[in-house]
Amino acid sequence: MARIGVFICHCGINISSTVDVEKVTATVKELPDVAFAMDYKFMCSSPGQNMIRNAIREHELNRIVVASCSPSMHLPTFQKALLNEQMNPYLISMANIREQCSWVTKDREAATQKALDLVTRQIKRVSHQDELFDIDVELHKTALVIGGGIAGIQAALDIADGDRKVILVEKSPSLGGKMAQLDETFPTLDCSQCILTPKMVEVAQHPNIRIMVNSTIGKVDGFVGNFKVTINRKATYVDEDKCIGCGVCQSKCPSEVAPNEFNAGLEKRPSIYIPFPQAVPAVPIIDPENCLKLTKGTCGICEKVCPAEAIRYDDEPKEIEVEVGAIIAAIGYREMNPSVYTEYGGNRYPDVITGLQFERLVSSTGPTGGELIRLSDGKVPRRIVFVKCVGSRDEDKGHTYCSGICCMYTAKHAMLYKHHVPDGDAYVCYIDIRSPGKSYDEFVRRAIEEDDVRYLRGRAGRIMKLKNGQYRVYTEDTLIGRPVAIDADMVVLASAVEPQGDAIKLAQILGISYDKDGFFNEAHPKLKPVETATAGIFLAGACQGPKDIPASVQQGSAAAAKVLSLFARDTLKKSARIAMVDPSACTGCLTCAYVCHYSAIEEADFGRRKVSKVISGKCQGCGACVATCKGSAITLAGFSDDELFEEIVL
Amino acid sequence: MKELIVKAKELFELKIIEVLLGWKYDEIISDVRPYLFKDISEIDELIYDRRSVHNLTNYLPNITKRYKKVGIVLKGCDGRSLTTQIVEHRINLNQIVALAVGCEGVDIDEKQAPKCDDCPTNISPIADYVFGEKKTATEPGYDQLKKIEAMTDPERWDFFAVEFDKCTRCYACRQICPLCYCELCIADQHEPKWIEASAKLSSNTMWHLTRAYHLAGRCSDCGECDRICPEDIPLRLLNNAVEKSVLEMFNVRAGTIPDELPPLVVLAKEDPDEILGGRHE
Amino acid sequence: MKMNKEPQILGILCKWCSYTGADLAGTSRFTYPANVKIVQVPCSGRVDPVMIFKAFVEGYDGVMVSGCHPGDCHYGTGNYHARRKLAVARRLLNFVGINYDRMHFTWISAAEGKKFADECTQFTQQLKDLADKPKTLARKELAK
Repeated sequence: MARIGVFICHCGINISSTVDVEKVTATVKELPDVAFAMDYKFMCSSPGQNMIRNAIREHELNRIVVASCSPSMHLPTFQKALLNEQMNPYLISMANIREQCSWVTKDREAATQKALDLVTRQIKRVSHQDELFDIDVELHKTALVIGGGIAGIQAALDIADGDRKVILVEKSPSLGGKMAQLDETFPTLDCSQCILTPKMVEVAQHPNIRIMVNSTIGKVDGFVGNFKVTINRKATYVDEDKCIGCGVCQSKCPSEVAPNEFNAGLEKRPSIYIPFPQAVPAVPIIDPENCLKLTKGTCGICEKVCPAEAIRYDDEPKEIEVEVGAIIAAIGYREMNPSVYTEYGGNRYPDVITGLQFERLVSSTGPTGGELIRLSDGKVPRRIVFVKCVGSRDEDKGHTYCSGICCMYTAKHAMLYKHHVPDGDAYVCYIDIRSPGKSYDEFVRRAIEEDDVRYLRGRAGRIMKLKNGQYRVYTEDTLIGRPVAIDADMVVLASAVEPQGDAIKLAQILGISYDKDGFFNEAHPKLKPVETATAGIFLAGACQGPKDIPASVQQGSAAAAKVLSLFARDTLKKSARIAMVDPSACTGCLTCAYVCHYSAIEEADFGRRKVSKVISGKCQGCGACVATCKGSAITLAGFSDDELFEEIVL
Repeated sequence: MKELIVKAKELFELKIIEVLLGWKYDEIISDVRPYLFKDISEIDELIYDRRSVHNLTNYLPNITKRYKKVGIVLKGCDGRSLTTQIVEHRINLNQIVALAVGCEGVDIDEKQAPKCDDCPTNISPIADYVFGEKKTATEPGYDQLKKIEAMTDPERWDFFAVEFDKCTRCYACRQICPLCYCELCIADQHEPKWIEASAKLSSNTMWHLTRAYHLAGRCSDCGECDRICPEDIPLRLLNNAVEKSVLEMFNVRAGTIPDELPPLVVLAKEDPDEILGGRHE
Repeated sequence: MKMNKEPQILGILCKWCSYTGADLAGTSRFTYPANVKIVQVPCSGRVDPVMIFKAFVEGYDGVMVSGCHPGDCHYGTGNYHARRKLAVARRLLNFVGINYDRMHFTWISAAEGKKFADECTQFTQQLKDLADKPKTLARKELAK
């Protein structure tokens, strides 16, 4: 016999200003099986929870309905109240009368009627809810970090220092990511390589970290604590165990045709190459599309000159399977190609370059050895224009969001230019200046006040190549209300931060969601920045949204902390809302097993018959099996036909 | 017919089968009826002709419990229902010896059964021996559906409300269907009561919709439910409508390919989203 | 079920995408008619067309089922199975006289709060406009 307690929250005035909560309370009091009903301003607060606990005791309640915000918000909060009264935490149901009622309904009467309807459904449902018990599942205490940039590196080091094993997978031949491509970083103008390389080396030498470069994720099966991951390692044609990193091969390679990825396409690279001098691991790979030996069967010089006999032309891609307990996605971002901006030359002008390309130009390991010169004619640019917001904050041609880092790096670039060319002219075309971090605003002021960088407020409308090799930038100075044209020797476009090209594919492999721009979704925009909706899968860095190095490092450490906390226990509690077969009703047709994504249903014996049986550890509680069974032989605890019927049929 | 009898006798002699499901003439009803032949001496009475309208696979689950090797005479539609029963592990193929006839149609009340006008597969896809010719598959015209499809939505409900109202919930349709074999039929479920027991329009509607849906991608249009309904409810209309939609959307006809999973079980990532949307054509 | 002049809509939403999207409509304060009553399921794959048949027989004027976009199902493949089941159910219901416009099967992600609100608004208006209102298999009407 159900004795239901109904608790209706005002949520301050969030609910009560639209829903007549007193009326709802008075009405539900009269419903069958309702032993107690009350309303209160903040049900989730300490006093609110104590009211629930008192009511449970005083009125011998055995079922609870809380009508308040979304269960996604506070179900665990109210479940704690039940646990504190030694009541099974599955004997509660919530009516969502805030997000799905008071906040979305204009008319007070309609909202009250709807709230009453929603609460009634939950009252009917809850009396059909049974006690359920979570089960213990073993967990593998190894973490998988996908992405070897600064966020992934930080996460890997923190987890490894916490005495847990890490597998760090990186798509390119070396760790480092975008940070390795940077020359100096804001706001300190620290040498990027100098602060990054020690971390890369630490990763390489850490006994708890296994690095897998030239690798991507092929498949992910399983669930938190028990992921089975297939890693695809591409053929590199170099034996990393034998290679001594001398670099003779790349110096002798005659086939220099492919664009140098590390140098943002500003020059060509050999077909056997180490991406940059400080690469970790410092093992070259062969580019199979441009290597003469692999495409035409000729050349073969690298094999001949290699002192360690490390060249393997017969290398094949490999599939490696690993078992991990948690996954951190830290795949970073890519710079948008500004070719869609035909008004800026459509990426065809040799001296109209992107932020990352400028970064490579001023780097000593760049295509010009750090000489800031025009790529067209090698001359030093005497006047340079920086155009911000190219592809960002642009509904028409680009992305609607702000890329977050360009204001700071443009100020940095302008200062670096002035340090290289002290008597040169530097202009920045800006709409806003976003410099919120610690010492950030002072940094921008430094550029303006100390290095004489001229900031013009206005959006550059057009860049035209002139016959004399210069570029006329048509912009405006809105603060004085005048159009401005600047003849520049070089233009740098602060091109937008975008998700990586394979980001969505990885999201689908992992089973995590992403937003309209392709950035991975965090579990809660305010309170869960590094978790995803999928238990055991975390996020770190720019793949979650544009961010700078300190923010990426923060998220790397935060994700690592989540993983270490997950690994702190020996077993995981698994939700009891899983499927179960009633063998006496089962005909053994196995259609449930065929639709199960987790292979969590197997054939079993039942007397002389064969029936289906759920492997509880694997079941994730989706209910596809239940919807498929025609004969009501399989049920999903917590979302049984019985419970849903009560919610649907009033 | 003659070759069928000769082969049947041979199978008995060689002990390849212990029993044979077929038809025999019965004086009492002046008609043929399903019969389990247990001895070679009876085989001369084996009949397969235009009166052999029954779907014999209905008897297989019980018979195969008692006998290890069972022979069965199969028409095309019967065979297609057998394919699905085998995929669903209802019947073990290893226990069956399929004698497939090249069916030229059967009669109901001395007129060709409507299902035979639309026959797409006159020979069972499960066949150890074949007797007769394969008829080129008729593209099912679903002519009888056209009349319903031409009505407006309200007219269609008016039509079906009358038909469903006739139903007495005798469940003869369920009993005679070889693919309706759930240990706990949804109609007999108490918690929850999706389909209320008494014979009123609402629960009758639930029953017929649910049964038609449960047979989606499985029904082989053997037509037995339609034939047996004591209230003459045109059940084939519902099953054909579902079968037609499955054919149009998924390019699959139930039971035509042995070992193929039914379309509502198959994981199809490439289905176009259009199958979910669109307004009435 | 109380017979109402206002169309009654049953919305069956998957927990991970669509229900969260509906919550987002709330946090963003997008308003929509109060006619939609939401029931949560873990996955659109949990939806059995028998529930939809029952909804219409019980007098709902319209049924909405929404899940994660294909490829993004939290449980991998549930929505692919849902898609086939719902497609068959949709055509069967129309065959017995339920107007296609009474059945809205959509994909709404956790980020699509506005889309959810618009969907509810549009659906409610569509049902108000439908001329064949009596043909909803309503229990009370059937008990002639």
